[in-house]
Amino acid sequence: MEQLLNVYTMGLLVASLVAGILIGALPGLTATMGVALLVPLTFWLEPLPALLTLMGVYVGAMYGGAIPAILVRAPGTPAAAATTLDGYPLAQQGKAGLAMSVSCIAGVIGGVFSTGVLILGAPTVAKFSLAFGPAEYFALAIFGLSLIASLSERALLKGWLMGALGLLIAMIGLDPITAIPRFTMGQPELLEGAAFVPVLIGLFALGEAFYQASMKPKPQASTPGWGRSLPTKEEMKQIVPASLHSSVSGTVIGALPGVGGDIASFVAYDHAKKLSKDKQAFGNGSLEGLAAAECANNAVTGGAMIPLLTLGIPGDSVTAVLVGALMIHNVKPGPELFQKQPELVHALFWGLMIANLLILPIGLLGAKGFAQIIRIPRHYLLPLIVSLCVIGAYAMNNSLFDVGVMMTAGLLGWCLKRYGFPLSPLALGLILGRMTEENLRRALILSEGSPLIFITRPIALGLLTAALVSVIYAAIRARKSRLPAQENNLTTE
Amino acid sequence: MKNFKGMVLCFGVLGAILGGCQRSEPAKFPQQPITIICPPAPGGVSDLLTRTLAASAQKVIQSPIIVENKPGGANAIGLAYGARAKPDGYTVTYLVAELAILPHLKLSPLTIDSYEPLARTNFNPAVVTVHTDSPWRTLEEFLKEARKQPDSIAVGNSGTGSIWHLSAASLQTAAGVQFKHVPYSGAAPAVQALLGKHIQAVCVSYTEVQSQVEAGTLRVLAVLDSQRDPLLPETPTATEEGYNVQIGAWGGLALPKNVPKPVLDTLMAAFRQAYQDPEFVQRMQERGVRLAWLEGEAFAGFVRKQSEQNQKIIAAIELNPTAHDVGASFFPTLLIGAIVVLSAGAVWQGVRAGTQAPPVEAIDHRSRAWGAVGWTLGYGILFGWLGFLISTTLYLTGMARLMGQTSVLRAALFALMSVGVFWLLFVYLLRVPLP
Repeated sequence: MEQLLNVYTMGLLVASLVAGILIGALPGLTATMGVALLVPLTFWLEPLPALLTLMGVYVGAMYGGAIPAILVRAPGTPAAAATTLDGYPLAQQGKAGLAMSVSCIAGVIGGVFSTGVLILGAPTVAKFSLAFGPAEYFALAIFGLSLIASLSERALLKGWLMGALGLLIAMIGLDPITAIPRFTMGQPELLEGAAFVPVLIGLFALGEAFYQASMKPKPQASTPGWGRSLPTKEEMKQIVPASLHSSVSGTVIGALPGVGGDIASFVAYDHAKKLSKDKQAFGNGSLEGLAAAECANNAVTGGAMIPLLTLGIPGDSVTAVLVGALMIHNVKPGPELFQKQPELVHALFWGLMIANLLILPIGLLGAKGFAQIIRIPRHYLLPLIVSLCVIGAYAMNNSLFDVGVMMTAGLLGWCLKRYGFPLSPLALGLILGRMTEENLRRALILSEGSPLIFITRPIALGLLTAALVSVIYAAIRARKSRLPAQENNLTTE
Repeated sequence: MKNFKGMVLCFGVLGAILGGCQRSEPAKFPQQPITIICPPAPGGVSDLLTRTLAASAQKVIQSPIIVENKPGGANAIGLAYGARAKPDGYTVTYLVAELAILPHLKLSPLTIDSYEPLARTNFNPAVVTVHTDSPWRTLEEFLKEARKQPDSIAVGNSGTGSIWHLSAASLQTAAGVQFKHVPYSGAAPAVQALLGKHIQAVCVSYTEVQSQVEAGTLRVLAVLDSQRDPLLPETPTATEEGYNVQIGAWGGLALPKNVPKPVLDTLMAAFRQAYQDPEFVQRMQERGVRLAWLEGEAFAGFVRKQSEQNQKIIAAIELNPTAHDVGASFFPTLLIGAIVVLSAGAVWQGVRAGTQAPPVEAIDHRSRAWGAVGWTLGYGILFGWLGFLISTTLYLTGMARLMGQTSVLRAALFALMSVGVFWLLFVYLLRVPLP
């Protein structure tokens, strides 16, 4: 504990959090990259401060991704794609300050909750996550895809169409089972698929920039104000419950190796929508929706640490980098860690808790600085966003090809927005495509072709049932909401 | 604003740390920083090895050495980039095991003969690993079970055609058995599946399973090599058990073809010395990397032998014989079908509802929108050609004008300032090698 609570360690933690927020906030720079870049620099540090620095970057980046998602609709990290759904409309309504502070508060709730679970129940959660085989992962992916239905209630058909398109784009690259190239057009750059971050940046941010460029500046809406930043008591009453159940989804999904914040935030968003009294607000600047998405993607950090520390298995690409860092500092993550180095583990746990709590003051104070972005006049802001998109797409893999991918996605995003096609089902299909296909085929190989594997395993059956219920529920709601809409049409005519 | 100053201070400190590489008297050859191309993404063993070796080597060669990751295309991108680089010695490539695999999958034309080999740095053999709850205690018991019935034992690997797939396949061929190969997207998910007992074995490097083996949840049956692993002195090798299988992941450094001999010699000497740096050796041991230095022609010979071996394995197992797989075209066909049906549905719905007027605001400024698209596409092309500084300045100036800033001077000033900030953030602080 003394080792943890000194000025030196805390100073490093704050610096790394700030660095993490910045990395997360710049599109194209991911948490993985930030942590990987810092690993060699921590060689000369003691194990505890070194590991805390890296975790600080991780926690900071998970939060930082929300900033550009809210302000300019560019998801700083893939996990922030769901944040754009309600965060950006809020900023457009002149409530950027409120959106930033809500995302910060919800993020802290998620981070603290998941760290609490890590401290109290890591071994139990780890055992549960091992029960997930190909059949369960497939069922989880299908459950994720079923969210398309509720994300696009107003235009179900268009939503499914976008979902299918997203899935099809995800098929680009080497086939996961037979390693045959598909839709690669002979480009080696496409062998591992169209890079994720450039596609998302293009679809959301560049598409939006083109769309904005095509609009005449409205006298007032061109520079939306900052608005008040702290939520009222009433608003807190909305945020806190949404955050609490999102924390659970985020932690559990984070603890499943191979499934990350991008999926968790969509699942939590949908869950919050189903529970909410004010469903119409979702997608038009709902505080609950924003809180749910942000909270879940921060809760993933604690969840992802669970398989990492207890099993030595990294849950996502960031924790994969952390494994290497832990080993360098002679900390071998795995079942023996808790017996062999209990002090270090506990110091790490509390350090992570403190890092999550520190996000609150840093986020609330820094938000004002970041928010200056929104005051930049439109004729400067749009070019800046575009050039940030280009640099970000390049920086991801140091690849010019990715810049091209990003531009293509940008044109697509613009057309889709112009003709009223929803983008989030496309993103969801893109995120879940590989997971769905790989695990279906893997499960069938293991079961020797018998589809019974999906029904006889309880977790898989449960998830598939939930998916079915979710789709039917959305269809019923869509029908209900269409009736009054038609009446409205009649009256306006 | 106070907070902003604090932030600037923090980054100043961080920047000072990041920019810690010292430059001194330029010697004859390295007049500028040297780049090592590392094909795998940041974070893995390859990335760590190149970065640590670079840190040691820059002390020797007295010039900064930058590691640049070029991930993607099953490492084909980075390998090709390194082979095509200017042969002046300023671009070194870290070669990986895929170099000896990709040509046989017709995914890359490159071989070791596309490079000027420097040296092999590491070799990590595959180890056959099972769960401790399984009945098998020796390789022979395990293979006996596999012999009983073909396709009865599921062996996880890190992807079809990956080195760990070929490892399991070469054991299969040597032992005359037939495993059920289950590809995962990397070694870690395969190990996870083994821990959850969804599969029965994996054939990966010891670094991937070490912590589980030490904790007693996984058991190593054999090392697929001719010598015992220093970390596993008790575990027999496949050769000892009567199966002549030596396979694993390796890495090494190379230069593009036709690098001048003096430059090659300088680099060889520098890396040779860096390789013996106790700090480097210690870091690699901590991470479980087995160092295995092999220089010049001997290294090339090793890679050629690996390539021949891989070619034989790939020919022996057809790569996609997996029974009960629905096939590569099943999903895409399904999706294209769905898209056709859904589009038809959407069109029909549209016709039935009558043509809706597009949102009025969207068609307001068509010429400007196309202008923005044109400028942006041009920017994308110039970005790689003219470099980041010039293209971004031009683009920002032009776009600001297009979007309504009437003063060219102001637009240019804005562009220069923004480019400065971007440069500071990305290039100076975060070390992103922009073109």
